[in-house]
Amino acid sequence: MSRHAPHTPHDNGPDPQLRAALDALPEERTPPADSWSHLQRTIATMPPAGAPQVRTRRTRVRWAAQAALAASLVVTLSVLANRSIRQASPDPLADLSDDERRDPRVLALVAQTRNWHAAAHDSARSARWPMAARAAVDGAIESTNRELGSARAALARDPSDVSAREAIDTLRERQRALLQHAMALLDDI
Amino acid sequence: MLKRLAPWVCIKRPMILTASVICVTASSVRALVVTHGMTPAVTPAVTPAVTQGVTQGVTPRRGWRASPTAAIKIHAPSGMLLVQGWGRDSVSIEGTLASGESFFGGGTVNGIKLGAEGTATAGRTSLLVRVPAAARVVVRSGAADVRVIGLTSTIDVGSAAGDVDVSGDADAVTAESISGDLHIHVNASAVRARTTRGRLDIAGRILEAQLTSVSGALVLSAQLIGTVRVETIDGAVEIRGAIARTGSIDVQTFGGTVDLAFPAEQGAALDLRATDAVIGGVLTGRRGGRESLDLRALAVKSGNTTSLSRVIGPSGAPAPSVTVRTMRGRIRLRTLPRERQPGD
Repeated sequence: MSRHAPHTPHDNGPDPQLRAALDALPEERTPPADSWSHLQRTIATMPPAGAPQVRTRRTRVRWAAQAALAASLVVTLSVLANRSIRQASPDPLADLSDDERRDPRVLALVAQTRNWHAAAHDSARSARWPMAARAAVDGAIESTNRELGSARAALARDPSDVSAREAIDTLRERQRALLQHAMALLDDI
Repeated sequence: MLKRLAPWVCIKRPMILTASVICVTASSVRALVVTHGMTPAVTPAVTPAVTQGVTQGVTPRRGWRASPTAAIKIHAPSGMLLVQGWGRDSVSIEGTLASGESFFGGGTVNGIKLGAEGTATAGRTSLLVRVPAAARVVVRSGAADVRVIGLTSTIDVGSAAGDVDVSGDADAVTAESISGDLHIHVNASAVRARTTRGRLDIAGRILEAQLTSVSGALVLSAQLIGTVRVETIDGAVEIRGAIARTGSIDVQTFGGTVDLAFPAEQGAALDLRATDAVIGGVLTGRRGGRESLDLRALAVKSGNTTSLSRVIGPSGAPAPSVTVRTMRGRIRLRTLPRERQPGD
């Protein structure tokens, strides 16, 4: 169907006057049969003057290319950012003694901490997690680590300090429970 | 089709509506009421939003039959949610929805799940959910502030970033918020409350409480304290009130300070220990000729640890145990002024 509605009734050929004039021409100058209908169909399928459709198509292609480029750039940046964040996350095992590395309670905390960081950087899983809640959990990890550092320092000064040793165990268990609770709640919202 | 209607609110088969599927916006509510024959019961819920010129989506009132002790789970991603107990055997929901959020709900008479879902892009969700007073209610909230009133059975509220406020006479209350504050003013047999950064504010008559915080301050001001266990990392702890004769207080913190205040007649067996911190405060006696006690003078220091073990109160009176353990957080006790004693 033509993009433009016809402004005049359908033309089946030249009017009688023109037909007579054409008939008066020499035989070799007479247009071939159905030439008018063919001409009309050709005109109907042609784009309007100025070819805005072609320009629109070109613009769309350019926009699509730019959008694809921007999307690929965003994906690349996010992947790089995630990698850098993961690399920046401290290794929970870095400061531990050999005995601590074999302690199942310590290993449970390390596993839970890694789960937290992995979940927090999993955009599909953590898309609906409020930023305030994430920040609160990260802040809680810092607070607990600060107290852990204090207790570990006390234990280093006095290896027989039972209360410091108990404090370390308690803090690790609380941190593990905190991360477990937080992830369960955030996954449930 | 539904995607094209967003941010409209679409409700499938509402029980109290005459149309099987109704999609409305604030601007089209009047037309729908006229042209689709909505029942009069629907109009009060949507009219306020229309008259106030609210631009976000609107949800009409909806209800379900429910048994008196039905299990009900309510979701609220953002905004505000009020859950109210009432004397009917039904559940109803009404209010307004932010653009981008949609309403859902369904279930049986013994179990119903309802609420809002999606991500708010504009406006603010405000929902009122009424449930049977004895229903067992679970609420999960993303950033919505949640208030629960008038429930008598078990209440479980978990919010990631919203504040939680629970009041009334409940059997058991469990409340948790990661970054929001918790306000629990109840008469309850059991309270479990947990925050990470938010403040914990507990009041009422509570037989048994377990209160946990990381950095948030915790204040327990109870008319009668039963068995209380408090754990924080570096959040300050403040407990005020009378301890039941069968009760006990057990506080464990690392960097947080601990302040305890009891009535003058309170008897207690104190067992306090602070590492790298001091124990102080004065307990004043007004009846029975009890002398004032300067706890700092009574505390014993050994190395970097300060401890105090002593029974206080009138002779022969019950002495519930009060145990406090801190590292770096000081401990202070005082007597409640008569005019400030809870319950007065």
